[in-house]
Amino acid sequence: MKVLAIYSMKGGVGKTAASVNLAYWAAASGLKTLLIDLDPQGASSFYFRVKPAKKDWGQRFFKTYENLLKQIRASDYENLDIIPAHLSFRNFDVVLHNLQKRNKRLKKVLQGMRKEYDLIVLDCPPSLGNLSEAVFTAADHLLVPVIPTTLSERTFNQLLAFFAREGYSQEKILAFFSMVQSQKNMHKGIQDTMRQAWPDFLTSSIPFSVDVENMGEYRAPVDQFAHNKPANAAYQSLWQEVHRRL
Amino acid sequence: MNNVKEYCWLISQQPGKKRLQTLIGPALRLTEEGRWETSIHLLDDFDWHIYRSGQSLIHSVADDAPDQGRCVLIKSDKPVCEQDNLSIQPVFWHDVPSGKLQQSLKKLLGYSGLIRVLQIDEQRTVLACRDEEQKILLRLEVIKQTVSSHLGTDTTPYDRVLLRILPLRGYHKEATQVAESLRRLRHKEAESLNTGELLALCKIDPEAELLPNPLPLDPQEHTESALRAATRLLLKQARRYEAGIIADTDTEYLHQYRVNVRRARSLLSLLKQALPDQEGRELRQRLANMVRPTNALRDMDVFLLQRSFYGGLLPQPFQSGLEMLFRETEQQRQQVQQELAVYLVSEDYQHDCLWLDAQLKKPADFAAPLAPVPLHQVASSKIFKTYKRICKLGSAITETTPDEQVHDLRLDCKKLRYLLDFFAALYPQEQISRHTKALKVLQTILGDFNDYAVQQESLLGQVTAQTPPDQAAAIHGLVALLYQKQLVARSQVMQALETFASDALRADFKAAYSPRKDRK
Repeated sequence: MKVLAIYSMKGGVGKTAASVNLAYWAAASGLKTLLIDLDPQGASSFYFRVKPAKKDWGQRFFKTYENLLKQIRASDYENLDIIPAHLSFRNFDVVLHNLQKRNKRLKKVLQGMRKEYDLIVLDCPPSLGNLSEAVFTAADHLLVPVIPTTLSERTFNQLLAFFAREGYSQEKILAFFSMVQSQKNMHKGIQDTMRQAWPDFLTSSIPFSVDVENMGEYRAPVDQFAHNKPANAAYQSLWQEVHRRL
Repeated sequence: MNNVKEYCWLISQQPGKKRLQTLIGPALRLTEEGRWETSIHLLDDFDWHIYRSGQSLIHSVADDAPDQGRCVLIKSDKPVCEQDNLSIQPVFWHDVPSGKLQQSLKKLLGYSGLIRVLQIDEQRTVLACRDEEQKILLRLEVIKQTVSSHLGTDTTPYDRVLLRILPLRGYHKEATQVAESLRRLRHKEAESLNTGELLALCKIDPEAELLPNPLPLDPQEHTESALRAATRLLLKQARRYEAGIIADTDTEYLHQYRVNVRRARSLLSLLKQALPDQEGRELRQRLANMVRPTNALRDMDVFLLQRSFYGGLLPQPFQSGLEMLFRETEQQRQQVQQELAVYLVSEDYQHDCLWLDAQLKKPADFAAPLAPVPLHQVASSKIFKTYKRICKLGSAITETTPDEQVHDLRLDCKKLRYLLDFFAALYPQEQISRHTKALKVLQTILGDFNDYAVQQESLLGQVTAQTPPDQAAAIHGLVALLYQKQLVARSQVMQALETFASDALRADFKAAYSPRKDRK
């Protein structure tokens, strides 16, 4: 079992869209996949039409994996299950703060899933706190969407610096360009600069696309309603590249 | 874990989507996800080896992808192993690509071929049950099956409709509620491909086709009556295989035919004092007449079945000669098989079979010495005497004993095996299994020893002055290698005999079959 976290400190960079579409393609490729929506906003749960649990269970999330098992819901797609977000997840940083070995907690509960799943996809909230550090420890790879803008470049460099400072392996980081508008010179320029500075950037990138925005309307992965569109091909290609690296 | 309870019901009528929606109510909305038509065959060999293992083999082909068949081995409605993308329906285990299914079939079928037992034409409609946000919470499958038999002459199709309720993980409560609202449609619980149910629907009973194992025996029954009844059963079983021999479906039909006739003949011989002399002799003679015309074909079958074994023994330069030999044998086999088929449908053969049946059906006249003796008295005495004889003959065998004596010993072991098989019902099952297992070890070694000798003789018999040099070289090469194998088997005989005549086993046989002790 592999754990793939879709992570960025910055919001609005396409984390949820990537989580939803990559989990969908992983499942379609035959991997038993579990998507865990760690973001209390619950956007990926929304895209899959999965309602959050009625009970407030965030406090129990890091205790035993059996708590997680009870929350698993099947998606409408074969091989793909989901643990929907809950508003109580907003307190994860505090919950973890009060626990011992907080960085290893997430890794430990996810280990309980290894018999059932080949891949766990974590859709992470945009922050840098206890939860993020637990994610850095638990994940085999951190997939980081980067919009080719100055601000995103800065955020990405901050993440690299944080990894270096805290002793996390930078090899875990897989970055890709997201919401790319190739007609913009700035996007082109920043992609070139960043690829030179960080040669390990994935070659696949996700274009800025109305089809991705339409996921909210259709509440489904892009493939389900825009099968022949470039955005769909981009996610499929991104998945294939990530799959090879897992 | 994901222990989702599925429901599968037999229902009396095919319900439309509207009817199901009305029963479920407005809180959940039904949408059709698709309709599939599939042609399914239940496969097994003629002796029901898959059925007898408690499993079913299903070959299915979707109407829209006729060259992408799928084979699934099922146990208790759950797939054990499967194979996709089969362009043709497999007949032998090696027709399936290597993998788990091939391994399972190899073990279950041996040399037997698969035949179609049942055909199930299935129309499957899948409906998604969605909540107000259009999320699928469960699925319903309405399955209309038309089932017909491929065996015998009754191919009447039978229709049935099944409703499956397939919950999705995390939505068990909703599935239970839907099941409750649809419960009035339920006729009874069912499985979509339960072999027992489907066979019963087509009035097929595999148990009735097979020889009971062990043969049903009453310990108090007079030996003559029991012998007549058992011989008739064995002959009836043998004749079951005639059609397969004539159609040349696979080599097992002939093999099983011969096994059953030989068992019958051997019983008549082992218990000859239970029948009038003249009658017994004539019965045995007629049975020998039945087997004789099958010998040539069986010898060729045995040779051809060894193709890969022989191929593996010889180095490359001999392969073309060997291949030539196989091709020639295949051609000869065709001719011999046709001759046998003609014989099996001939009036003479049919007449012999009728005569045998009529003779065996005659009531016992208790003229022979063992005829009126209760079966259990005869059984123990025969088994124990034969065991003792094997031990005695065995003790005389040394490294230098002529092969002939070893062959005689093999025949006595065979007799003991027939006796244990025949009288099995009179003794505890565990005891018979224990003794048969011990005997089998010895029989395997003696059997190998004999087979290697027979194979050498048969191969050498094929060399004539006209035999091409390549072919002759392959034959001589094989004979040399088989001789080496025969020597190895011979060297194991002494050890196997020692184990079979050990004090412990001797005491065990004595305790179990000592004539003074009456049992069961």
